[in-house]
Amino acid sequence: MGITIPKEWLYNLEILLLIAIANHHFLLQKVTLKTSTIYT
Amino acid sequence: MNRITKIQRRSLFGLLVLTGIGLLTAFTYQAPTLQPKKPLVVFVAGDHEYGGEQTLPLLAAELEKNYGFRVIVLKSYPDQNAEKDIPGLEALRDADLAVFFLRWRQLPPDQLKYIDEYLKSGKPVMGFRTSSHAFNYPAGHESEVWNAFGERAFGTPPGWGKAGHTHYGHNSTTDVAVVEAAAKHPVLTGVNPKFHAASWLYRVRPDYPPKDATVLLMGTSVNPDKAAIENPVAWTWKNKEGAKVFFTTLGHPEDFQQEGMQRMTINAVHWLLDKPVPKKWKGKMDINVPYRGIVK
Repeated sequence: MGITIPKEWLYNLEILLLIAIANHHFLLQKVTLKTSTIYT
Repeated sequence: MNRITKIQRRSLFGLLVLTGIGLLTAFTYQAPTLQPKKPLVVFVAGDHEYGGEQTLPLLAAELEKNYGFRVIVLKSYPDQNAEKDIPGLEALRDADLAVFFLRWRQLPPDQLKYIDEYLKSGKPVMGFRTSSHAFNYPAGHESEVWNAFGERAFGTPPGWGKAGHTHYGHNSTTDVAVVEAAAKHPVLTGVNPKFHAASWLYRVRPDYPPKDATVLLMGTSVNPDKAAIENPVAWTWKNKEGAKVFFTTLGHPEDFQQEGMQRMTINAVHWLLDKPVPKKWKGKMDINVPYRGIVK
């Protein structure tokens, strides 16, 4: 009675995860620039 | 008959004396003339890093005390890190010269309008160091165009990281040299042909300042963190709004201890206001503001 996830779905999930990580990284960069902690 | 003549003589003598006094008064009395109004220099300070809110008031005080200018200093409120408020910008309406030392501000439209009005007036502008990236509005913000304020006002790159605008590391300094072709420019009167600046060199090349600018000083990075090229560190220009411009990428507080930097700044204020640069230097200013860096 276990739920089976097709292999293709796992692949899609992996892509979504990567996109989420990239977005997070990008957002962090924006926040850093906004708070002006970069020395210029 | 003799008596009358005596009286007449006395009267004549009295008349002559009175006429003499009148003439003397007429030639020696100077009617009060309308003194030309002293030019007003408005300083606008707000940077997180270099203590412009401390160095600019010292320059302003010197200009007021020894060089006959009226001055107003405006600062970010409540401190140098406050990006969204510089009270009193309406003073720019009366300014004859505006001097900016700004860094990544996000002023509201009702404050920006005074800066915009000033720039559109074509009156002269002067800028220090981080004013090349005076504003930092997020993408899509209604005031995003102000991120390129430095380009519009001073002929700098249009913001930090734009057109290769960067620096050569905080452990570097700059050897500054007068450009030979510009050595006789009034702004350089009395400025040492070479001096050393604490500011790390800003890269503005290859596209800035514009080709029609007059580069006064060139900088060579000392101890750079990457391959470095020579870059202009001070120039004059006429911007697209017709204003006379002086800009320098120097502005580290220790730079202001240099007599060359002090003289250049005082000269530039005079030159921008179409006044002859001071024949007599009133002496080195006591500017001892420590570099603060970014403090939260």
